[in-house]
Amino acid sequence: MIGDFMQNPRYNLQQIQTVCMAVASAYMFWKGLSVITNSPSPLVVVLSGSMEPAMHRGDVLLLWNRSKLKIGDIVVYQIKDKAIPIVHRVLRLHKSATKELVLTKGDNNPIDDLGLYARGQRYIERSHIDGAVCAILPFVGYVTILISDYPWMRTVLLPG
Amino acid sequence: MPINRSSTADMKKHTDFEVIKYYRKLYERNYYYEDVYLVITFTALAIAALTSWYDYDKGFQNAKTVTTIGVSLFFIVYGLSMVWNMTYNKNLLFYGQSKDEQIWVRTSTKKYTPVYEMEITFLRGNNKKTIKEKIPFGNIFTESGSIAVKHFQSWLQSLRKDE
Repeated sequence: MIGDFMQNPRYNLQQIQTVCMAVASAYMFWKGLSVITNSPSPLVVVLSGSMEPAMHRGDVLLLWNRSKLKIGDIVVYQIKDKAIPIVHRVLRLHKSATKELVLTKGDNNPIDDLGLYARGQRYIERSHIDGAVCAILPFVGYVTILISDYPWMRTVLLPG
Repeated sequence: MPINRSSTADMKKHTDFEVIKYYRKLYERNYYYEDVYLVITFTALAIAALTSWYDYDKGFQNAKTVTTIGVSLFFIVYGLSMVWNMTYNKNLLFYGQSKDEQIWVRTSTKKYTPVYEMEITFLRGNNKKTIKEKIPFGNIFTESGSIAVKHFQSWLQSLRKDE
């Protein structure tokens, strides 16, 4: 294999460079967007219907994490030891000297999110919030939903 | 091997190969422009890799400053690579040197036009001369789809005589 590579090293390096630059450019664009929005994950896909009719499964949300939170904002937050972030609305805000505490609720849920938080946790903290929703792209992320609901599609779609 | 005569891209690729073969006999090929481009792009890739590793190691919030610098540097270096490519590597097929002369050979075709265009620049001391010539692919390839090598090489030689 090394022998084949060394037969035309410049051509082979150019091929490697082309593929790697495509991946690196996409990754650095993502990181740049993260830094600008101050959110570790500036684009998220809505996976459940708990925020209908404001947003639906498959909608892609753009987050902004540089502004002060207010009641009514739709935020994305992470619960400790849970892999999937949650998109719900701010129901209550409490500010102490050192912390900002937030209670959230899905528009389409009958009760607040207390049952979703970690055991003993009555509020989420500002640091758990990835950002507030500032833009919605409807249905763009539906492929993610299909791959999640039908794992066989991962085999079909991703190699393509 | 017969070439697809209805594909301009295919005919250009094979003609480029013959042009390189011809000029390699007259000049020593120099890969300076391609090598600089590779160095710049692999530098950008190294910046991306280091930024990615640091971000993964320290977490998003702790690595924000380094990530900002890394992303900025990456796009600056990427921009430099595009400027270099467009300025020096555009259509460049062959760059070579002999004892007293340098040569740059650039080739191109226009969409849907089966004509091979060449721009050859000679530099001898401070004396620079550029020749631009075109030849239809019909004058390079035979009916069976192979290159009429001797005829094509005579044409290339005639460009030299125009100097």
